[in-house]
Amino acid sequence: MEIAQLKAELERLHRASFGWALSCCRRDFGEAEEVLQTVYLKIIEGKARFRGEASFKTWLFAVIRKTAISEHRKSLLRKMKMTINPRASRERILGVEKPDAAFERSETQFRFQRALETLPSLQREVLHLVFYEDLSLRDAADVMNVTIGSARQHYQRGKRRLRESLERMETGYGIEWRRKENPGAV
Amino acid sequence: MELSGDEKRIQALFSELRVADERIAPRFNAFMNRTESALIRAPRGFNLSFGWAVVLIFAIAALAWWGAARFRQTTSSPVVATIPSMTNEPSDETDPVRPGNTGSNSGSKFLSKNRSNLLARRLGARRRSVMLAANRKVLKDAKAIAKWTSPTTSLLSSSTDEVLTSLPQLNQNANQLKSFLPSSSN
Repeated sequence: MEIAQLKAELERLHRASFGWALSCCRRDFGEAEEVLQTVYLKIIEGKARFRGEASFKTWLFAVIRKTAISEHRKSLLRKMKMTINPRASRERILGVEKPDAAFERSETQFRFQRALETLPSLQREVLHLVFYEDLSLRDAADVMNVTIGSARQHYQRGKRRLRESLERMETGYGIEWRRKENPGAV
Repeated sequence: MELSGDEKRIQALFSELRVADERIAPRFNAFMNRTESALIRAPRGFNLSFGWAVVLIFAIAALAWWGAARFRQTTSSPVVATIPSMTNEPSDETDPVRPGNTGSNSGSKFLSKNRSNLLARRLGARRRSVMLAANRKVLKDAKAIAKWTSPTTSLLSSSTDEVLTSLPQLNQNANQLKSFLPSSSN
């Protein structure tokens, strides 16, 4: 694939990629930007090459996931340094919390994000890929580098756990949910 | 794939999240420009780190070489170093009355070098003679042990020992051979 073609594909998938990077970085806006920038650099430099074994989206998401994991390791070191310099860490936290403030107007969304945070990473990832990115379970398994059986298990468990967390957070949430879905039963 | 009630709800929450993420996502062009500028800056950082790595390798190699040379120096001259203390002879430098000291500086150095060589040779010869004496003693002891016989050995010997320990010869006559045959009186 040529550079121009690559850029066109990246532009087409830019928003979805950013959403996926955000999910991989546990909604850390700054880290997600850094990860995405590193991924684009890797692709332009040719360190990450698309060989056509899967769809471009699946491949790109797999690269983002791997990069996010390695960047997370690096950020742990950075955080250790920041504990030495508390002023810098405060600035960073403020920067991170900026996008979250936008969600505060939606109480449900806020609870949903908190519930997502309680999920194990694989369950959160598979739910994100299926519901947010509209990928099939097979593609999600490819991105996560697991078997389809394993992806399905994470998907089922993730759904159950997400619902339980949401119900726990809002007492009447489950009842309301069931009422909406099955009005005759309640 | 038909979505159940739970799945519909989760998808609705994820869709809401996606809309919010798309609002905060950085613009692709600006993002790509930043990435490309980082790409231009990258080689300098790489060279710097590479330079540091080279310097570090050279420093380690030099240190290792110096250490090895020092070790070789200390192990090659232990005899010369121990001579003055073993011979109990005062050195030329500490004895200003000795005639060797009256000559020029280089002459005294040459004399002291010859003297130390001679002492080293004497010490070596003494060590060799001590080792030879010890070897001789060991050989003597070994011979004595080999010759040793038990005092009860004479009690075990009898007149028929020869018959038991010898074989009949072909040139012996019939009567002599009969002595080896079992008696026919039974």
